[in-house]
Amino acid sequence: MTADQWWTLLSNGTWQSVSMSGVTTLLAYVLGLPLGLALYHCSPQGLRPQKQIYGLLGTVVNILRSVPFLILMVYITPFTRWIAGNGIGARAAVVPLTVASAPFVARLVETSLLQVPRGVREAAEAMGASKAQILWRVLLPEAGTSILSGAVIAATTILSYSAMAGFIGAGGLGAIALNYGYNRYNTEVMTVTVILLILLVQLIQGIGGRLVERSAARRR
Amino acid sequence: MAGIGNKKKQAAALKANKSGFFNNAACKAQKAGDLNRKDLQKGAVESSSLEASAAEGEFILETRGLKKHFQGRNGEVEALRGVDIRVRPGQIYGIIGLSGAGKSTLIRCLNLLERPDEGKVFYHGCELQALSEEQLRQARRKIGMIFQDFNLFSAKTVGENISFPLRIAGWSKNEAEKKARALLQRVDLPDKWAAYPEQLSGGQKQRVAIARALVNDPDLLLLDEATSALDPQTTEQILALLKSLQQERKLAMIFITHQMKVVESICERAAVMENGKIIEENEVAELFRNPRSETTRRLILPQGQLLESEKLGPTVRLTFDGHKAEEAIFAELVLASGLPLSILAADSTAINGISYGQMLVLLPDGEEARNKISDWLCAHDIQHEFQPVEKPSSKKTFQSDNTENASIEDKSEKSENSENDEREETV
Repeated sequence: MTADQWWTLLSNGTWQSVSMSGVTTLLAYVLGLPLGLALYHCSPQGLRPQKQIYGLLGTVVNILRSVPFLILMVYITPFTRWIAGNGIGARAAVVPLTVASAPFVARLVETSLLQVPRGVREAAEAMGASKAQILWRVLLPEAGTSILSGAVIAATTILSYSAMAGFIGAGGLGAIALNYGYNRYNTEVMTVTVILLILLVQLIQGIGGRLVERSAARRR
Repeated sequence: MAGIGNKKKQAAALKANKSGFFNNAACKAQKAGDLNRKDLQKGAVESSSLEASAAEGEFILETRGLKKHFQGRNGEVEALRGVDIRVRPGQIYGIIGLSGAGKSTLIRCLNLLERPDEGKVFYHGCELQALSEEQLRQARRKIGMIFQDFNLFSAKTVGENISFPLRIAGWSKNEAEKKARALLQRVDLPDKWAAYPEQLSGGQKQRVAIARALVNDPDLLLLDEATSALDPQTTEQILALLKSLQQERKLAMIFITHQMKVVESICERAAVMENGKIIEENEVAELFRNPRSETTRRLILPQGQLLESEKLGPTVRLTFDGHKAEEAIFAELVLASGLPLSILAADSTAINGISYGQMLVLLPDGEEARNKISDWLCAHDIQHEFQPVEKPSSKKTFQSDNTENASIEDKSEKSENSENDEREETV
């Protein structure tokens, strides 16, 4: 392979990894944010504690989170095929990635909401706010910075999951490391992909961290 | 269908009446319903409906037999064991007690942040527990609340914080901000509109919290240790602000605190809480001059001094109002009794504009000395109490002189006290 070809391969791989993780993060929040709100809403310290619903949601979330990603990915292939129309490729990989990360995101969101001081909620309650007003106009803005920093953690975790998706031919840096580095004993390629992954995580953390900082600094 | 129509009517009635909660139709309907229900259970009908109407006129807030328990780690904790308080419109009412007495639970029950297990809360004679969620929210808009740790919304600016109660009540942004700005001016922070709470000092935060609590024009303010997180100087400023706001707006306030100074400087009437019960309740000046329970004494006298004095031996505590403070009481007492007395602590306080002095005096041993002093103090009409109270007879004769206190009340309180003591021992 020429240097040019390597360059194309790696830059395509990087783009695939980034887009796969980006789309997954977005979808994970589309599903995980409402799930997290629901978890908080019926948790024992929540706005309307409901033991059974909380237990049920919590169990589902825990089950999904306790299956190792690699196994989950293979295990739900029929489901993936049904959603994406295809079991292999970057598009298909988004399905198991989302299934694996949405429960994680839900817990992050729940934790962020639980961290809002109880007194703040009570102040809103005491001034006659409804449960919906407390949730949307008090708790979510109060938990905003914490939810944002959770999103940065989620995005980096999803990036590393996406590398594993290389096993089902998802493309991206994971697939390159696997196909060229591992299967062909090419240590240089392996090293380069690892470095690229490290750089990506640094980038996400850097940008995300700055956003979190700015959101917090606004109040200081 | 009929149910839905009713609900709409109620909502309309609630909206139409913004000025006072007690006039609202839903509440009246509720009362009428109450009476009907009571008509069914014959016996107690008349007395209880009479009670209800008396409560409506006289008290802005009344509780009857509030009980609340929590499931703690070491078994059940009874935070409230039947609490009755009555607060009149425009009154500043203090509830004082040592930590763990149940004060915070009590104040949180008053706007149902905490639901009592038993007992009722009446706001303008209207039973809060009987209201629907929407009606309770309407009522809460007229009951402001101030917290020890301010509980401002950290993600909102000062301006947004103060206008928030109006915004959730459906006011337009412009109208809400106009009113909020006026209030921010009133609490002397006009230039902090765009600041975030974290940029403010403790005293400033509490001012913002006060403005936020007043923006709905409540007629009752609940203050949960509102000054406990502030330094003495800031405490004084906040109390002065509250007092002036109370006079301006004819606000009633219920002040929970463990600081006797706060009660002395702002409250007209106060209740002392211990073990989930009100053990003593009176005008503040009277409470100070003639405390009837150990806890009250403890609260009046700075704790360190009291504990120290217990080690030293028998003492007597003298209380005198402004006129007598000018006389040389102590010198005369020493001369008259010929005893070597020493002062352990002395203090003076102003309650409602009248200054009161108190003095803790160490006694020499012996019955004779004690009698001598007691006689002299009684003859000169000076309030006093011996500690330890070995001779109840001397205290009794003195208290019977004091016609201001009903003796029946006295007895009931004493029996409660002894109950509490027993409980403490078994614990």
